[in-house]
Amino acid sequence: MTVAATGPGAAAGAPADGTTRPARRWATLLARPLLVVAALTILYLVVSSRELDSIEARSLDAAYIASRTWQHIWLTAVVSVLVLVIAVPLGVLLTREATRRFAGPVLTVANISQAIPSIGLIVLFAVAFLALPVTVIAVLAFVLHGILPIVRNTIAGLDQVDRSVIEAARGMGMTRRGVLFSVELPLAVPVVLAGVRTTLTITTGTVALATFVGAGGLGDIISNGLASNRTLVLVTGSVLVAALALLIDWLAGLAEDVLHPKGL
Amino acid sequence: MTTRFPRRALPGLLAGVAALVSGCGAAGAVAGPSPQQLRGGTLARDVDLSGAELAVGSKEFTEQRVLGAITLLALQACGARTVDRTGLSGSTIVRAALEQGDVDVYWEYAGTGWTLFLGNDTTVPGERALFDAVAGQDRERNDVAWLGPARFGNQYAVARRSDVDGPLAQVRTLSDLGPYFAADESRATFCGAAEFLDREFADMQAAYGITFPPSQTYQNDFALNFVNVARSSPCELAEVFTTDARVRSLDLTVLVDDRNFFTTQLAALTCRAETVQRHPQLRILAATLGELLTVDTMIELNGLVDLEGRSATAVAQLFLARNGLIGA
Repeated sequence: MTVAATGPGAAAGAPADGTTRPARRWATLLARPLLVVAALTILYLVVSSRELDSIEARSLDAAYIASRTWQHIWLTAVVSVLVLVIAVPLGVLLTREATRRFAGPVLTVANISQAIPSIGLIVLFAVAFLALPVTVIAVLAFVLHGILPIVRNTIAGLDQVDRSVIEAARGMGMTRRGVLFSVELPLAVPVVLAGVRTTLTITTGTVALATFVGAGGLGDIISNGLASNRTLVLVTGSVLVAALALLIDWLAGLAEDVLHPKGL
Repeated sequence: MTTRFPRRALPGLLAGVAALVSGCGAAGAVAGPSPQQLRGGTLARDVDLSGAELAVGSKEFTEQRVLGAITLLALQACGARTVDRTGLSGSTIVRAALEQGDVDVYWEYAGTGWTLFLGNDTTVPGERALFDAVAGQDRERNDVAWLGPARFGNQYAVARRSDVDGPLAQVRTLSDLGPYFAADESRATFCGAAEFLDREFADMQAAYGITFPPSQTYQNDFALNFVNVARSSPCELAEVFTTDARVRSLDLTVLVDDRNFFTTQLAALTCRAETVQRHPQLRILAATLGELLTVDTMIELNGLVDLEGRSATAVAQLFLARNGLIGA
């Protein structure tokens, strides 16, 4: 798993500075999904070769797995979109001259939200906000948890943009807004995307905790494997979450390639 | 087998969640009775367990925590030294601990023993008959003794919010679910904990001729059944225990089990047979406690924890003192 950047220039997962990234060959591109398909095929063969008791059959039923996978993807998507919509603008805002002084306090608060175990956060919300539907509770908790890596990487990405480039742009008569959108953001994209990728992968895994408040997802299968002491169920749930996280990380990697500014 | 990981590593984590969920009611911050109080009742006089060292287990929900606390204090009153291993998450984990010797005594329900530990999938009608069958089989096959039993049982039920509008307001018995389903299957949603969904759910649906689609069945922590059905999210119907005080406090309506599907599962103090052989006085203790633990008493004790926020230890002390088992 990639690690969130801890400061300017420490952006994890960003391509090597200044070098042109070679187009990936098809083989490297397809390795990840093929690996995932292989793992899922093995899992399917193992499960279908076993004689399932009624407890295993409930959690390994095709309709059941499909509904949990769908809930999981849906929750992950909603959380990811909300995190992006909140965190990137927040990160940009915190690097503007006028609001820069709030960066420290905001990051401190974000750090605290990350320090609370997500399982505690979600269960706390479930009991505290009795009026809210469980999916809202789950989404709230996971969004709070996912914001930090992106805010941090956005700030780091914007900070590492060469001051002289910005001054040159200003000198050419570009507006502040123009500098931001045409110079700063494009140059910050690799680092920002690294944060996005981290958050997407972490969120996919964290969404498994939604089961504790009844919001569904693949965590249902894992928690049932634990509660009923059925290893096969436990392994199936875990492999499915891992497969999903790997695929989403792979998709984010593709997006990174596509969105990567030309010539960097 | 890779079963060691879930048994060893996760009870702590899950019990932590359960403690959060149940409002930290069982946190051990409250001091128990003094040694003088413990030795001041009939238990100290009638039951001698001095020299014994016993680890007491329980599952994670309120009733089990209360039973665990009662057992801990009662054993101390009888002169035994105790180890507190209450609050383990789920029947399988606490039972495994009992068989491995990490736990010496805990209260278990006959139905759980019958289906989960003895692997039966038929039912025995009648609460006493079921209890005798479980006690007999478990002794024979696993060397586990069932002492007591208590006069209350744990009975599953299905509940909905009392103040619903529309067609659900007409559902008063489990049989009413048939027509409710027939009108519009997609609105029937069900919340349950893993144990119920794994064990009773399929048979209950068969008995009443209904089928909840997997996408409309939600699995959550047992304590959240009540909360989730009270807010109608994600579900309109949920699994509950009839002895749980939250049925009243959250204004839930228990659907009448008009085809008598759910049998009462009498609770009993379970322990390894060798433990009883070494400490035969445990039988007297279990019988004494079991005789006093009636349905109404259990509802009241659960309510003191869940509704009034008292600790399981304080409630246990109250129960023991009120019945003269320990000094006031």
